[in-house]
Amino acid sequence: MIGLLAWRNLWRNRRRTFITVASIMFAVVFANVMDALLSGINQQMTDSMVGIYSGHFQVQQQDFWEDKSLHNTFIPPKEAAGLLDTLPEVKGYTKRLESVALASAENLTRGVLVVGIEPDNEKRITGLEEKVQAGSYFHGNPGDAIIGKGLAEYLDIQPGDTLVMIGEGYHGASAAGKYHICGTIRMGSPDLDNNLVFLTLADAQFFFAAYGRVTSMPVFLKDNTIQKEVAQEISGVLPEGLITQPWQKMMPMATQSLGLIDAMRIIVLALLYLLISFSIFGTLIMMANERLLEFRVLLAIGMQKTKMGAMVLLESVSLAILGAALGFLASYPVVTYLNEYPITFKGRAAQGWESFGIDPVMPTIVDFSMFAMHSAVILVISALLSVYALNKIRNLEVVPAKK
Amino acid sequence: MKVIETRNLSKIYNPDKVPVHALNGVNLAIERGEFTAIVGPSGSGKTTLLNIIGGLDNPTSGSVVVEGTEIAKLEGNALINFRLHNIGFVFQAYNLIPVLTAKENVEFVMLLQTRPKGEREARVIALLEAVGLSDKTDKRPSELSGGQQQRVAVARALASKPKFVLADEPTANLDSISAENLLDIMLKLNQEENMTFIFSTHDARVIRRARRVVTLEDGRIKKDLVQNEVSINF
Ligand SMILES: Nc1ncnc2c1ncn2[C@@H]1O[C@H](COP(=O)(O)OP(=O)(O)O)[C@@H](O)[C@H]1O
Ligand SMILES: [Mg+2]
Repeated sequence: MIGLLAWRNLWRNRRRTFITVASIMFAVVFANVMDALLSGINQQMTDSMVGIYSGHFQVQQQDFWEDKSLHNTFIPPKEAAGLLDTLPEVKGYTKRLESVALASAENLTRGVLVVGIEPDNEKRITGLEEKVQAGSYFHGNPGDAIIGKGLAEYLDIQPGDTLVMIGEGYHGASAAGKYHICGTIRMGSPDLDNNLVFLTLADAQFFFAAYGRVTSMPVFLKDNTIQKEVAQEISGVLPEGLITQPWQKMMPMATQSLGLIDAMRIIVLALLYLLISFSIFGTLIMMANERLLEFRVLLAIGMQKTKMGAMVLLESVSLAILGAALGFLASYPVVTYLNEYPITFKGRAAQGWESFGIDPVMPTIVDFSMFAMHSAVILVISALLSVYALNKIRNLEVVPAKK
Repeated sequence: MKVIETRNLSKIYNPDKVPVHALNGVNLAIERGEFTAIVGPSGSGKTTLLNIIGGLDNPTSGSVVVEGTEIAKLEGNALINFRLHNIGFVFQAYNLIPVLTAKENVEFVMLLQTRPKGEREARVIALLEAVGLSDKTDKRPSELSGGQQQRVAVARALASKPKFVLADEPTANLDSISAENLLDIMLKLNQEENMTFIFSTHDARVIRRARRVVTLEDGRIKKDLVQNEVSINF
């Protein structure tokens, strides 16, 4: 009986039912697209930022992050390398040896960060070659060095010139070497550009007398969502004293700005929910008030308030379920489309993104649990808003007091 | 046998602002099978009296006893259920549930009473037949005339097998032919089913049909007459 009444009541004002269902549906679609897009941007930024240099996590000696000295280097464990080669989520990994030295050309000297790299891996995974500004990338000639653009300007040298470095090697050995500058590079961060010297891993190990040793093994994943799981799996095979260091710890600034985007996402969604709430609430107020006379008659002839409440709840929840379900279904094609044909920034906006090393193409994330979440939230909002109508019924009297 | 008895019934609206004394010590007893009109000018307290007798409103003082039950003492669901099982209501307008058909409207109270399907269906047919609407069973209220809607309301009022039917100006929105027709039907049900009717009106032609006429003035019973020459034409 209550079901029949609720059903008929929904058909009573078809246009309003339609508008309400449609607005709930669009709200769900909008929330889903919004979230898919912003999560996509977030992920894109994350993947771009970690993809440039740090990797999603690095295998390090456990004290390295606090004390970046050559004491905290390690010999890459075979088990980890073997596992990394087989995991399908891993896009690639590489090895680096980094420490400080003094670099000089003619009579100018500056403290530098020497990073020994595997040229082919870096080229393939981080696209390091594309960042070379002048000269060329490593071509297998021992003694080649690529230096930061700012450092080159400071030292007033260019590709073809010679760079002399001295420093302290592993176990206090003294380090000295003479290198041929094959290129200059622009990493985007002034800090790096003013201080960076890339050598091949072998040259760096020789320079620091740290034969076979590295300071880090950056691991690059297909995307950031699986970071924890993969890191955990790798940790499982690492020998005592080695850890996996997540990018969030290594790049606190980036972590913060991504947190900001996330906060923005939540604010936008909250505003959206607020808007939807008003629309649903408006409908409920109309529905409840225009039927007060009818409710009074029902109460007079002996319908219990709980039954009336159940009827009204059933009506509003059916509207919400219908709207949320349609929204859920409609979100899929929209979000999938934006995944396949992503929103692409052009012109100055694109330059802005690119200057941070971020691809200006923003694919959405197609995630059903996200769809379900927003549909459920809107369902709950509708149910909560029906409290208004329920309260009207609770306080209903057949003979209202005249004002 | 007394179906209803009011004792010294008073009602004051807005006691703290500008008090309105709608009823002033009404003592009224209604016997089973009576067909009583409550008459009086607008504002004399007819609606207030019927509402209080029907348990839709509370008296300020005094009591209403329906077959031994003091209804002012009932509250919440007890009161709602008392109305459901003991009192039939016909209001001036907006009686029917707009989304239900004539048949469903009549059946509705029996559903609330959880009567078995067979009984419900038989009674719906009998009642709609009695009010002359056998051919309109599947029409919604909006497809019926005002008079037909009131007849459905009368059928619904009887469907719950109440102890009495209260009708507050049931003919106020009807033309005179429909009004007389409705009264004929009520009178017929009164005689055939021995159903007690109490209705308010200020329509002279309706008053003529009543067996007993209680006249209210300023919330007091002014006259209480039993009429002999009631004209019945069916
Ligand atoms: N809900 C109410 N609040 C305040 N005053 C009311 C209310 N209902 C009726 N009254 C007042 O009580 C008096 C009796 O009204 P009512 O019972 O409706 O008379 P009738 O039905 O005979 O026209 C009138 O003066 C009316 O204005
Ligand atoms: Mg009245």
